[in-house]
Amino acid sequence: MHRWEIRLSELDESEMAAIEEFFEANQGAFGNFSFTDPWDGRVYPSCSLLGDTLDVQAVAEMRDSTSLTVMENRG
Amino acid sequence: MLVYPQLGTGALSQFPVRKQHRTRTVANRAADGSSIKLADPTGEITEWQLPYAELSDGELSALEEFFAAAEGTLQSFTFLDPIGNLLAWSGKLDNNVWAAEPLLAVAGGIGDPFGGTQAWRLTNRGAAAQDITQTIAAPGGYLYCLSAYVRSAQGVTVTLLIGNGRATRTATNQWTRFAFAWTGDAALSSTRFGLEIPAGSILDVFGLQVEPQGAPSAYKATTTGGVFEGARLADDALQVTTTGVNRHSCTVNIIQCKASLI
Repeated sequence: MHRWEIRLSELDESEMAAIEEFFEANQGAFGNFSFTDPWDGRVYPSCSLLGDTLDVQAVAEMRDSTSLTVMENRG
Repeated sequence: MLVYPQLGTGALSQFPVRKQHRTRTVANRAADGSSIKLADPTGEITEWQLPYAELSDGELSALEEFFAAAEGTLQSFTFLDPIGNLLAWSGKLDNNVWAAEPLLAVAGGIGDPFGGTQAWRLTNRGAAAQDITQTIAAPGGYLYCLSAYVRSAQGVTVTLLIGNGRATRTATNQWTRFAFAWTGDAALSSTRFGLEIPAGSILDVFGLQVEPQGAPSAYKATTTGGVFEGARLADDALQVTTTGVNRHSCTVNIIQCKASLI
């Protein structure tokens, strides 16, 4: 079982909107998606977001930040 | 209609803004580590934390009047996401949220200004101007900024529409982002936004966006849009610090729960 903690900062508004849309499309921890491990490029076909909360910080224009945890599903 | 006040600049908030989405997933985890999950769409909550600094007397007064009218957490209101695009399905102009006049053909899969194929081609086959619009439950008296990337090989004059406000711009064969800011009729509880093109013309469009402020920010593709009905203040107290003459600061917390709309 794998888990990835993804911290994102210095995002522009378009990038942050894409993250928010992804979170909403998955309904938080409910949805399933495939995830490509950024370290080795291996694709994990069944993953979910770990939590039901997405915290968005807009510090200034083009300086948004958030964090997500992706978890590989079993079964 | 209870309306959250805009600042003197036309913006709804100041940086930094904190926004939190919360969903609710019911999970049954088995002993072998597998799980069965059930989404609960009615458990969705969105919260904003809006810190304000250097407010003028007038801006603070507007916030205090709003707080009094809302009676703290008691009354609900429609809140417009200050860091979002108010339009729903901004990248899907054939969705039902968009109303295209009958002689306007809308086709997708057109090359967009960022190297993708998310733009749309509007073809007016009629003998009169035709428009494509979206009406959202946004208060009419706000200052809004409508923006869109447009391109046309014909040098088409495109009209940007906000309520009864209109602005014309001439599209070229290069992608250009046009913006139009307008304040509509305060008596209205919904506002129509869109584009109109003249008879016999063809226009490529990408990135339609509406924001409750005077100028556009980076384009944000949406599905649900940034209009949150049934929002409430999260606190029954508004704590204000006066830092100087005509200088005030405070923090407003706003919460919207989908369950309260059902």
